[in-house]
Amino acid sequence: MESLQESDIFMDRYSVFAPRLLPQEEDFVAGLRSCPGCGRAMAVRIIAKALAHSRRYPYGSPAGQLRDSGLPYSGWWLFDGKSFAPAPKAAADRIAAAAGEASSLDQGLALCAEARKKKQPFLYICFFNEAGIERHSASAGPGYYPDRTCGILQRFEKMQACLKKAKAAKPDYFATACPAYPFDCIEKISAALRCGGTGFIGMLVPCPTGCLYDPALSLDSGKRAVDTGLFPLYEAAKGSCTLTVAATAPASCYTRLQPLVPAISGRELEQIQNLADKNLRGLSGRKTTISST
Amino acid sequence: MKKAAGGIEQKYGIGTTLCVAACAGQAWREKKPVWDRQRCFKCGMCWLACPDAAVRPVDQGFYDSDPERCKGCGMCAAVCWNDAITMAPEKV
Repeated sequence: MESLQESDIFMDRYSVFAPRLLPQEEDFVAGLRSCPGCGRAMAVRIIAKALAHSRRYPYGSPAGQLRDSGLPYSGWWLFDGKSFAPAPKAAADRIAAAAGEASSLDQGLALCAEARKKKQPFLYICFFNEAGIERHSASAGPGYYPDRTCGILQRFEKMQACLKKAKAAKPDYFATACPAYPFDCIEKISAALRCGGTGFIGMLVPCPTGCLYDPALSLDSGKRAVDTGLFPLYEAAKGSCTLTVAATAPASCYTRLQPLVPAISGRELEQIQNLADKNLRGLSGRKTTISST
Repeated sequence: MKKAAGGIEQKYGIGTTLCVAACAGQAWREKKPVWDRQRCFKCGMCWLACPDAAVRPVDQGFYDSDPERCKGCGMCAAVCWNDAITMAPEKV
């Protein structure tokens, strides 16, 4: 980053040991199904760390355990019921979060609406696979084109369509996150729990298997998607919308990492850059009303 | 599991006890992380970045990987601030 502020440099220097401050106990149960370098497995683990202090566990998962499984086994088994089943009173405070793939967005938003009606705090975390493997409910048509240039455009356009749909449901807290920025992720989950109402966090999860890059570059890919503005990280609460991670890199920074995408022409790259600019234009410095309350 | 004669299942022994044996022996892993304690300053970033919770704290605040869980993705080496982790080829 060229334009680092003095405070950022300070934080950069001293946040090196920040992982030491996180809960050391391991609530996450490593699965054998997830691929090497799985972004979603890391996201689930970060969520487990963020929820460890509040002792609240996602709906549908056994207390104290979070599991992850890879595609095509439909990931996190959290949507057991089709409606927001009320838990026994003793365990009611445990139901704080639910998560699912973007394909189950409608179901998750329905749970959110039901929780809101019952005035119960509820956080819905929706995973967006980088390769767009899951079928998005927000728009029709196929979404799996990792081997085409237009694939990048389609994938990120559909993610934005999903986010738009979730924003239209007016949650009390709305944010986007990525495991490539783990501390930002943890802060947002904590903020969503603090707000006490319904929350929605859209999380981009890098997928090395889907995009066929080196698993070691998993976090790098997520970072590039954020830094280029293809998936900007922001939070919206109390009527204001703020960008939490600066996005200054050009779109070519992300496309360069995609081995399945053939040589990109100038026009196609321009289209991807336009999408990134559009995402950022809607955010920076603009006040957006999210909740009617 | 439906097995096709001469297919990928037969070649790699998927669905038979061969794949179970291969998993138990970590024969599928190509690389494993090796920590250089001279360079490691115990920040714990590798511990946080591991998607399989395979990196664990060991003596004197250093970290090491659990060979039973590690899939050899190399994310720990990628996030290391001081290049203290190298991915060494797995000896089969």
